[in-house]
Amino acid sequence: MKRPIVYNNVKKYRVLMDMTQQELADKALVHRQTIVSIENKSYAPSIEVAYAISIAVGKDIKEVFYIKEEGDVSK
Amino acid sequence: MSLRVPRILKMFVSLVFVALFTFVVYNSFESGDNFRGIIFSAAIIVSAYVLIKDIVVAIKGNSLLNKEVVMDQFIIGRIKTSLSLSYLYLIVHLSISLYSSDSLAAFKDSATLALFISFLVFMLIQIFQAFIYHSRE
Repeated sequence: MKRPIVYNNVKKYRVLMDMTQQELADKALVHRQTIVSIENKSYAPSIEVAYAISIAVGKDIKEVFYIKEEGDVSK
Repeated sequence: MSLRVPRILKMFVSLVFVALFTFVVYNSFESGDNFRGIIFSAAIIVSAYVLIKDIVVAIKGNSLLNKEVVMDQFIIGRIKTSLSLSYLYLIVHLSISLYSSDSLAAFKDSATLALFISFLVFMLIQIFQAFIYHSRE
């Protein structure tokens, strides 16, 4: 089984919508540091936060967050 | 779970802390502890700069009364990490001093030191995490 790694397009869609990190955080009801860490890929958000961010940038969750399989962890 | 407060309240709390540490700086220079005074002065200059910038941005955007999230799962996670490590330090320090202290007075001194250092550990890990997750807009 391969370990899935979650990637995201949060920064891309935030910039496209001309929003600051604080504005996106206010819309998604999270702290600005949460947005910073998600954009830096140093924090994987919960499903609720992922949905809130997707709604805030006006995109489907699959467009904002996607999975790539990397590294075999079945051994 | 997230805790939201009006932006103006958050800024007021920050202002209170800046005022408090300004008082610490004044006391440090008055008592001749120049090194501590200089360190705290640098911290106050940075904090005051960030606070003034936030106030200007909030006034320009007319968002002083808007609610802002000050605590969510990510921030709680960071606090938990710092608390766990400072608590671990406290347990190790107290365990060692329990067996090595030969009197109650010596143990009391060691326990006071352990509490102080575990608080420092908490603060240092918070600062370390702030550097890890820091990013410019």
